[in-house]
Parts: sequence; structure tokens; C-alpha cells
Amino acid sequence: MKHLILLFTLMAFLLFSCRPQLVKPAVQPAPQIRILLAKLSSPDSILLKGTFELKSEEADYELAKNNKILHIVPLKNHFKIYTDNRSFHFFPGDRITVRPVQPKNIFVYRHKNFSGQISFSFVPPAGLNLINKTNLELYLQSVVSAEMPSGKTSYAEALKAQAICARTYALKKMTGRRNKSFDVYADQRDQVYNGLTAANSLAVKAVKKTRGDVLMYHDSLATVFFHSTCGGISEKVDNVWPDIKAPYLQVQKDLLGKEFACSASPYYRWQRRFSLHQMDSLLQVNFHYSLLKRTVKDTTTFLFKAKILQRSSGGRVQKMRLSFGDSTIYLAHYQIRHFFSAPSGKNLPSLLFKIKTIHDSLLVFEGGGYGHGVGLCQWGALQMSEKGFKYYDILVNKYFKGTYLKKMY
Amino acid sequence: MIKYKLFSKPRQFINMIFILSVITSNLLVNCTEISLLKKPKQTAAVDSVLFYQQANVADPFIDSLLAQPQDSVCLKTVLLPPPPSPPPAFKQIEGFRVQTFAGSDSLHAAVIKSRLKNVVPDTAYLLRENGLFKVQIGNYPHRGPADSIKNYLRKNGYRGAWVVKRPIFIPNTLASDSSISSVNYKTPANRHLFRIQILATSDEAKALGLIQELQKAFTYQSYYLKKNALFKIYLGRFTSRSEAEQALKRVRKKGYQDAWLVY
Repeated sequence: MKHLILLFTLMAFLLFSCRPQLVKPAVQPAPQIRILLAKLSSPDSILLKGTFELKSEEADYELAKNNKILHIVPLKNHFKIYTDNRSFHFFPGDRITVRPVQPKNIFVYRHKNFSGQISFSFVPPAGLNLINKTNLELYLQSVVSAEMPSGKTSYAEALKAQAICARTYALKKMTGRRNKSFDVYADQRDQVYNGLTAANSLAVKAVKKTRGDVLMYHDSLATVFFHSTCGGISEKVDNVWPDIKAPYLQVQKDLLGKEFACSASPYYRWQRRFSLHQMDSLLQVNFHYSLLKRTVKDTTTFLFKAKILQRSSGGRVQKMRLSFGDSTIYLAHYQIRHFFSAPSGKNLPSLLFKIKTIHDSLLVFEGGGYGHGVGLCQWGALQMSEKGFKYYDILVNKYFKGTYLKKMY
Repeated sequence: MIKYKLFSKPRQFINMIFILSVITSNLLVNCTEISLLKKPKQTAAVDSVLFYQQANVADPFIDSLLAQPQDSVCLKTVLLPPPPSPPPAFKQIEGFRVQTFAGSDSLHAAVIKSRLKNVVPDTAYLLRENGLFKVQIGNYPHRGPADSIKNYLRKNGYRGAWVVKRPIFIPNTLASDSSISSVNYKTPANRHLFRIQILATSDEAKALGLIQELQKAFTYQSYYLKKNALFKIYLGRFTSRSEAEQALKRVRKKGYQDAWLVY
């Protein structure tokens, strides 16, 4: 009997110890991205929430406890960093990093919260680059919130598509700028990054769901561009940036059924009007030239002519001529949008326009779209998402035909 | 029989309890992971809506732009010559002031200036010129009034008062009066005028006294011209003879019976 009991016990142990084991996959960490928060030329400060340590080549210093202000002063050929109880002088070659002791510690710069570490790189003669090194996925959560409307749950797929675009863009920049002091700007020069507080819950979800996903073309990361509204037709990449070649960024009508995908955008069709007096002030601002503030001896009829000289294959204006009196100005590409800016300072929304006059006294721009028109049309993606399309359809089957998705980490 | 034996021996009973507890604990520990092993319910995979874009959608705006139009527009406006600028409110002329003090003592100058306010009705100026503080009374477009003020000041204790020539500003309305544009009263610029001569004398002091008297009596400007050792005292300038004759009547009524009209 005793043997029987022992045998039974052994069998039970064997049975449960030989059960199949669940092996959780090892999560590869996301890479760290270096973001240029600001280029300082005058004293500035950062509020540290939690303990941070200043790491220089010689030693590490703990920068006090909670809520300490870190003052940064760029000076000629060196720079100074100080808190209430410590002061440091550094020279251009010094590598200085301020890193949180615990990952949850954050810092506040210009009323925005940031995570990760801060580093400084000196820009001669008296400038200082303030760089934030943080997790790429955290960066993307803020970027996606800033770059795309993220107020509706039906926009989830479009947000995922935007997240993949933003990740691909960032990773490509990280590769391209490996030898520079930072990878991306925190503004429109790259992608708008407003820190942790800006992250929207839908955008956060979209980034988490697509963790590590990027767009690939052949063996390398695809070149991605995105803009607000294409106005019904996208643009070929080399019509805007002649140096960039990407066969998947072509001219195509942005159709969705019987309508245009981005027709819901407030910038789908727009109109801008300029009187001669407004154009006179634009010329004064841009070229220091006045049309109307000239002294004439007799009553003179004055003519202002505008002519579109060249359009791209997508119909966007590439070159324009303005003639007035005895002067002529040629404007090309972005110069046109910048020149015809509104009194508020906003540029012309896009180059997809035609011109006409009203009563020979008003120059009227009738246009469509907002932005350069290359790559992903954000309003088109939002519309597709609302109609039930998935993010891979938005990307691979619609705006970047010929690319494929890959999980990088 | 076995059952009886099992429960009859306490040691066997303990063994049995131990085995049962081991089995239940094993089951309890593993049950969570067993549930993990359960395959999730098979649900239909959610995919994109099936969609095939076939027809080209026409849009007049986009299609017109794809035709590569080279729009050209022309705006017109009419530029008018600027309106004539309004005449300046003041005009600078060479005029006169009576200087009562010039020295390096600014305090002294300020005291003199404040005192002068009670002595003469005209404006007293305190200025610094060539390192000296100067106190001047003015402004006089003609020398005559300046001289009379100078004499008056000399009599009242400011023995060093003298007339200085300097640029002064006069209201443009006065400047349009041709009499004022003639800076030097001794050589009036506009000779083609009627004027009333009061007297001709060889005594300058008498002439000046009379001028002062005339200034008090009439609104017309009084002045003298020196000609052949004679000081000829005149009153006013008139563009028409009738105007001058009317003025002459008024002058004669006031007692200057010898006054006559000269051209």
C-alpha cells in the first residue's frame, strides 16, 4: 500500500511538471532618439522634477532633490550650468548629460514635460543646442498627437498609419544624422514634438499597437512624407525635392469611391484675395520695394501682371512671374507660398491653385489642399479610417504603393 | 478492508492527507497557466472593407490644372500726383534780439532771465552758445523795436544790453506780410509802396524817441531811414494810395499835422 501511494505521488508530480511551458517573447527595447528642443543663445532654465545626475567626462554629480531649477547660460567660447547649490563651467568639447536617476523623473522646459535625458552641445561662437534623448516610442506618442487630429475613435487606423509614417521618418533621420549632434528638430522642420503632456490617448494606443512597425522599400526604410490635405491629387516627390527619388511617391488622384478622400478637410478648396495695396505691403516686406508709394508728376495708370510660367505634372505651380512698372520678380516653389502670405503671417496653403482677377483690382487665388502634396494625405487617411480601411491599406495600398511593412523591434 | 486499514493506521492517514494536499496545490498553481494554454476563441478576422477604385472621378478644378494652364492676370490702378504740401507754419528769417547777458555763469544767467520776465513783456531766452550762457529778449523781425527795447533796458539797469542779429522763427502768416520779410529796417526790400513820412530830423535820438511814440500810438510799423545826414521817420507801408490816404487822415487827426504821403 505504501508503495502504491508513493507511486501515485510520483506520477502526479511527473504529470504536472511535464506540462507545456509558455515562453514569453523577449521584448527588444525601442531605440533612443535625440531631439533638438532649442538652440539657446541667451540664458534659459529647466525645471527638474525628481533627482537627476549631471554626468561629465570627469565625474557624476547628483543635482539635488525635487523641483530644482537648472540654469543654463551660453557664453562666448564656453557655457555655464548651475543650480542653487552647484555651478559648473564647460568648454565646447565637453560632453555633458543630465539624466534622471529613475526613469519616471521628468523635466519641464518652456511649460512642456519631457522624459529622458538632456544633453548639451556647444555651437560656436556663443550658442548651445539643448537636446533631449528619449525613447522613440514615447517621442512618437507626442508626435502623432501633434501631427494629426486625434479626437475620434474612428480615426484609430489613420493614427496607426501616421504612427508608422512618423516612426519610419524618425528612424531614417536617425540613420542619416548619426554623426550629427541630434537626430530631429522638435518643430515643423521635422516633426512637431510637444513633450509628454501633449500625448493623446488614441495616439498613444495607435503607437503601442504598431510598436516597431516601419515602411520598407526594397531593403531599406522607405522615404515617407505626409501633409494635411492633398486637395484631390498627390504630387511626385522629385517635383518638390528634386534630389529625392522614390518611385512609390507619384502623381495620383486621391479617390475614395465616387469622391475625393480628403474632401472633408477645411482646406480641400480655398480662396485667397489680395488687393494691390496688400501686394504692395508684401513687396515692401519681401523685396523692400513699393509699387504705390512712388511719386508721379501726372496721373498714371499702373499695371501689375502675374503669370504662371510652369506647373508640375500634378498641376502644382512651380514658377511664377510678377511684373509691375519696370520691375519683374520670379518666384519658385515654396517662395510663392511664402510671398503670398496672409496678414496674419500664414503662408498660402498650397501650390495647387489658379489665379484670376476681380474688377482688375483684386488678385484671387482659387486653390485646393494644404501642404506640399507628397505622400500620405492626413485628411484622406482619416476619411479612409472612418470608412473602415485598415492602416496597412492606407499605407501600402494607397499612399505608398510598392512599399511593405516590417517590424523593426 | 483497505479503507479500514487506511483509516485504522494514523500514519497512513497522514500520508494520504499529505499526498492529497500536494496534488491540490499543484493543481492550484498550474490552473492559471492551464487557462493561458487555452486557445482564444476563433473569430472572423477583421479586415479592410473590400474596395476597388475603378472609375476616374472628374473634378473640374483638378482636371483644369492637369491641363497645365499658364494663367495670366493683370491688375490696374491709377496713381495720382501727391497734393501740394501745406505751407510751413513757421518761417526762419534773419531778425533781432536784445542780449542782456553773456557769461559762463549759468545760474547768474537764469536769475537775469527770471527777472527780465517782469521787466519786458517779450520772451526772455536763456541759451548756450559757444560755451557762453546768454540771455536774450525777442524776437524782433525789425531792428527798430529791438533798439527801443535795448534803450528801455539800458535805462532800467541793464547797461550792457545790446542788439544782436540772429535767425528767428516767425509765424508764416506774418511772413507773408512783405514788410516783415524786409529784414533790415534801414533798407526796406519793397520800395514800391506808399508810406507816411512824419518827420525828417538830423537828431537820431529824437528820431528814435518819435518812433517809440508812434509805436505806442499806431498799429502801423514805424521806422526811419538815414538819407544825407537826415533821419526820415516813416509810418506803415501801403499797397494802394487810397489805403495810405485813409491812414494819413488818422495820423493827422492824432496831431501829426506835418505828415505827408511818399511813394
